[in-house]
Amino acid sequence: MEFVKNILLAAFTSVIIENTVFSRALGTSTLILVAKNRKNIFGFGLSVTYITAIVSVLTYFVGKLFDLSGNSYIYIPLVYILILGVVYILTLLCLWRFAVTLFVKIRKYIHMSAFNCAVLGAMFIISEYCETFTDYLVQGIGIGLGFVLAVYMTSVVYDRIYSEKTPYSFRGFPLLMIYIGILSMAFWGFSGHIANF
Amino acid sequence: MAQIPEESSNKNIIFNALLKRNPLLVSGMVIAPAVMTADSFSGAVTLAAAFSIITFFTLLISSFVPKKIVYAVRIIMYAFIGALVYVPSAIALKYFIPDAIDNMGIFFPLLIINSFIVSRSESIFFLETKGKMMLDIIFCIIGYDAAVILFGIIREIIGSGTANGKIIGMPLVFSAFSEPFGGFILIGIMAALLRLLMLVIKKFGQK
Amino acid sequence: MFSHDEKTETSMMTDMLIVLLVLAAVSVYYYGLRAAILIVLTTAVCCITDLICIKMRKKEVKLSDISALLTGLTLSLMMPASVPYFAAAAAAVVAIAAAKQAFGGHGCEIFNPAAVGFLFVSLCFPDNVLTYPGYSNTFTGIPLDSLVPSDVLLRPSMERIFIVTGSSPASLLDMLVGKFYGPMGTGVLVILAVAAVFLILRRTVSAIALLAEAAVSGVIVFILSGFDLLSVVCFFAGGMTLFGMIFLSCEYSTVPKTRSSRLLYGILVGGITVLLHYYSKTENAIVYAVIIAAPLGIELDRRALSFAEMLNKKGIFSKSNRSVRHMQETLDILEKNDEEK
Repeated sequence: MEFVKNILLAAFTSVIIENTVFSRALGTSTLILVAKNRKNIFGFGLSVTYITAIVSVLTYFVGKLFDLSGNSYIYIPLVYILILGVVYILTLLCLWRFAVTLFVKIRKYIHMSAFNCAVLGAMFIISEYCETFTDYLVQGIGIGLGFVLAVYMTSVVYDRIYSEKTPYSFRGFPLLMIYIGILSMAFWGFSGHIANF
Repeated sequence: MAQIPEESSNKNIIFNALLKRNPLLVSGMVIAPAVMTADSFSGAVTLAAAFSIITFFTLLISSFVPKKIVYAVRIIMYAFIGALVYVPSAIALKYFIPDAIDNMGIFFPLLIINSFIVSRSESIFFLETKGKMMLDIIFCIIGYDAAVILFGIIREIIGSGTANGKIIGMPLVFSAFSEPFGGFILIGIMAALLRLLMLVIKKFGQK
Repeated sequence: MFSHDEKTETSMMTDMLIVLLVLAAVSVYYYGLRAAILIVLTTAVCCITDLICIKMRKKEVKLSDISALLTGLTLSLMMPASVPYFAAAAAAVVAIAAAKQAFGGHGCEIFNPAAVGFLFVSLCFPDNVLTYPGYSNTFTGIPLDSLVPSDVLLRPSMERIFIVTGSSPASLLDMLVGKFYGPMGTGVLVILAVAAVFLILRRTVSAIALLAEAAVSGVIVFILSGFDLLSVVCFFAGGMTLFGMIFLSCEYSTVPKTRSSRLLYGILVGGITVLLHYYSKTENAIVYAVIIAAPLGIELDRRALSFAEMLNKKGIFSKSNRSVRHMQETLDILEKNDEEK
């Protein structure tokens, strides 16, 4: 029971309290590119979550094998990119072999879902703050789901942000940034930001 | 006089890269490091330096990757090249500005697969000649750097009341702008002002 | 269901104005001249900013649109009586310019402007916006300087003490009457309850949303506090919770338009408020909850309508035909209102 409670707490922390986009600002540019297309957001979000989950597990094993301290900070990104590349290629190959329709559908955006700040950032954050295998996995999935939440909350207001009623100089990207900023302010409340006086 | 196609004249490439399609304020690229680390002039300069070095050399070397290779493999090669470029860049930058780079935290290695490299590489490499491609890359990087440094200066002045660390007599200091959410809002405001500027330039040009 | 046949927007705004003016009068009674100055200042800055933004957008100024006035009143009542004038003015500018006019003006807001303005300023100047004076015995009891001098005792709110210690520091009578450390006009529980009933009967505020929010949060607080009724009262009185539920979350422009989505929205706002209050120990949790739930409310509306259309197409329930027709009529009237603006 304690174990389940800890997992739920860890999941809640990584999805809501330390939300990928609203608290950590990771993957904002990717979010802007994706929020346009309402039909694909869950597919895209699912592929990001799948990739963050798999790479977080692999990061755990890599962390066990190599000593990630000292001068290794220079070579860690190389290792992470290798992991990412392997996962990406294997995923594409498996889909192409076993699920061609899915492959055709996600071919256009799989590269964006693999090579973005959210996924690489996830690997760095997880290797810095997590210890056990469950931690790694839960945080990995949590970061992906946090990204999905952010994309969802942005896509629901996409029409309003691009509508003709908004002032021309704010229409689109500027208003999107203000919107993300206001939501980021509200998510700040989850981290228990306490004024000290 | 023969009309040069609008998009491909050098003047238009520079104008687009710096203003009309500014990477930070119009296309919305590489926002995460800007919002999280460029909360002061020194932070912004560090980010600009790191971004410029990593992006320029990654794109330069990646432009030699044969286009015949399928995109799925090419993107991995670009990322790998970025990670290789990161090694000497990290060594050099850590030697010259170690504290500033440490302050950037994980956002320094995240520049390897920044959204500019991932999303713009295709349009840059395929549509232009080598000379125009170099011009586009250089001025896009300059455009991003200028935007980020201005962003950092403004953020430091209104968010902490200091200019490059020295306290200036600001009557009001909005500490919210030093936080990530303030960064997002400030990018939005700057993007709106840039769009207003473009409108004014267009009207002025038409007259 | 959103009753489109008798309520016009102007009469709804007038109802809100009456209630807010009553609360403003109470806050002036408690906090004196400074409260009056703050209310007038905040409202004036809101209206002037609104006017400037409308002129810059080259739109027509409509005198019947008193939404900026309402935002100013709501915002001022959320502040402490000792808040510096610059903070109140900054909140007003941010509320109108960033949260209202940038999104397209009245009727196009996604977030409640007063909530956004207050949140921004409370995060910029937490020491000034989250500390409160005691209520003054004389009309000029609280000094009129912008930055209140240090000899005036500013204390954290009753809600902060409730969050930290778990028990209410004020008595039941004090909480009903509003005599505790807190925002200027959000603590008088008795008047807020009467106002809620008045606004619900006048159909200005959505009964479903408000009752759902109050019920969900009240029940959860009751259980978590160990079945202590005083804690529930403290939860609603402190931290502008009841005030926020009436004026921020159920305001006609930000609340969803369909009945089912209002219910879900109410449950969501109530749930998030309690979550922030107990788990994250955040002060003024309702403000955060209102902002987070705003886009979800928009989505709930869209889902409700598409679900009803789907049922209608399949001819599953005859009731849903009526519901869909009502919703369609509602949307037609909303579109007509938009065109008239």
